[in-house]
Amino acid sequence: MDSVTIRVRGLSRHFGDVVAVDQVDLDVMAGEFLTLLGPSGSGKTTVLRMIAGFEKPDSGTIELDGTDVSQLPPYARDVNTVFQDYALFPHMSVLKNVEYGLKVKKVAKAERAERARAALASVRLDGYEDRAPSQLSGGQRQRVALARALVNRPKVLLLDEPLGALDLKLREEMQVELKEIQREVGITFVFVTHDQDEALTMSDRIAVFNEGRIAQLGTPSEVYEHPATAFVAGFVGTSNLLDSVTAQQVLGRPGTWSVRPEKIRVWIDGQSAPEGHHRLDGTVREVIYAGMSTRFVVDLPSGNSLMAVQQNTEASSDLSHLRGQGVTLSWDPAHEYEVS
Amino acid sequence: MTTAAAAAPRGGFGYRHPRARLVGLLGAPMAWLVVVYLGSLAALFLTAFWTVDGFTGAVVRTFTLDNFIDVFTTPAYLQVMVRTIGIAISVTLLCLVLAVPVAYFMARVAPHRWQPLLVAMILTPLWASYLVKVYAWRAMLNPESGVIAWFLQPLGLGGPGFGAVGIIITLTYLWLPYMVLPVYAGFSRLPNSMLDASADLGARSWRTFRSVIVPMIFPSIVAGSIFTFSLSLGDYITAQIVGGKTQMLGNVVQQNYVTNLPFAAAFATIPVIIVLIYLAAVRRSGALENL
Repeated sequence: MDSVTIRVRGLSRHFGDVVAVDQVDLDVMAGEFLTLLGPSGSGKTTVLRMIAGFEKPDSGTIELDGTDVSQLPPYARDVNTVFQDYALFPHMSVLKNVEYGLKVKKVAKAERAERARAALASVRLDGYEDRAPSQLSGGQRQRVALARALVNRPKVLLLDEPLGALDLKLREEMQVELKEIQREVGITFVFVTHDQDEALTMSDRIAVFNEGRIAQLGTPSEVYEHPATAFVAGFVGTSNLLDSVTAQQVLGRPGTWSVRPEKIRVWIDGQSAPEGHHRLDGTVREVIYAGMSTRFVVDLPSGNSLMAVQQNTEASSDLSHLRGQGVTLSWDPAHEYEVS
Repeated sequence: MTTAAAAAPRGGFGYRHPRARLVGLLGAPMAWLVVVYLGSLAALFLTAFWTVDGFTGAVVRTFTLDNFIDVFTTPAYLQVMVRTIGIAISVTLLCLVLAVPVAYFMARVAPHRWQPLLVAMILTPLWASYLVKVYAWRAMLNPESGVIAWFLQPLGLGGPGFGAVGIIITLTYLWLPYMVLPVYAGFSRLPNSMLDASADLGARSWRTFRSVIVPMIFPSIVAGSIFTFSLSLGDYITAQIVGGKTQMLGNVVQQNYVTNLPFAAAFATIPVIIVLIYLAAVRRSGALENL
């Protein structure tokens, strides 16, 4: 991961009065899995579409392996896209879909078929060559779209919320599979999603978008453990903010601070909290049983509330009797961080 | 508890009798289709096998194939048949060549808020009477005083005048909206991502047009062509007004139906059969399933 595959500088794009992308700088390293994460309208998809060539930037440049491609049409760029709706050609068989890019580039017929079959095999779809896209399930279409893009051996693969239309279980399977495929082929992936779990699971690095700008760029653990802004803290994971008054009282420092819910421990007897932990008393407002874990919403004297999550390690984890009870929250000071 | 339990609430008549509801819904249109439409077609077909009395001219109801033998063995009639099919194909192709760019512009290039206006503009010719439009074309095609001849004269060319070319031009004008609208609908339904995907995979505009756009709007083109082809095949008034001496199938039918109704019926069966053959061919191509 030392050479830069995509170098984006000062990239801007507006639609009417709306500034969709505002002066974005971004380096995508060779072979990395970079995720553009953000809410809808944050500009992540527009950046992806400008890299693909479907949108022209108002200003700024996009370099692909050192060459400025920002004024080139999509067909002249060595990148391929997996679309949100897959965009498989309905009048072509699965094999013809995968072969399309090679056919356009005038690859000889025998080689074309061989490469397309190999690509389909790599996404575990051998035997489906002659099916029509309409005969496939959502997950299978998704994999055809992936094979159709990868068969061209692009420098970069762009993925526009490709898992959005799948149900949860399939989505989780595809997350693992996508990551494996990326490791195997070694192609740079730029992946757009609004799903923070997806971003944290799959990415080497995450660029968190907000209002057309990159709010933070870093590894999943950097973004999760040390969010740079209150927006990132809230968008990636649950926002758990300590107001200035509480911070002054507990930490002895003013400012807005945040602690992740799973770092906070809940004690019925405040004396059992470990030495050196920051402590805070409150009243349990809500106990939410979520199978693997239990979430507590605890009201603080300042009027704010914090969320704490505990793994359900005991045989009987029904803690609903704690509702309305006074508890003590504690956390290791290493897990608290100030947000701007 | 002395009173009987109140009756359970029930749905309305239509809810309790779904069959009656269906009859109420479809009764009138089915009666129209079966009695008036299919009935008259059946009457036409039946009449085609009868003959007329040579002296009195009255229809004689005896079964004979003579009318069909006449139709298919008389060179003049065969010529009219071939010419009519040729005219219908030419009109369809001309409509297609004109409609595809117009429909593409309407659906994909023009701003969204223009689209209702453009559709209305395509439809405006249908608001005027058929006869008015055909007579307007007669005036324009007139070899002496017509505006087309007037335009072409300085170039040393004569206008098409009255004849097959005049018929093709006029019919193309008349039926063009029937081709533009389905093709426009086809272009509107085409997802943007298909075009993006094609460009993304390396295809330039022409390639995308050939390999993605045309196959995907093919059902719409077929739908339009069914209109333009069958409307052209059955037309005879345009041929009368701007055709000069050129005759189409309909003209032969019109000339015979008073003196020899069974022969006219046999001749009128031909365009019906041609359209059925065309529909069967289209069905085999799979285009109808996507309409």
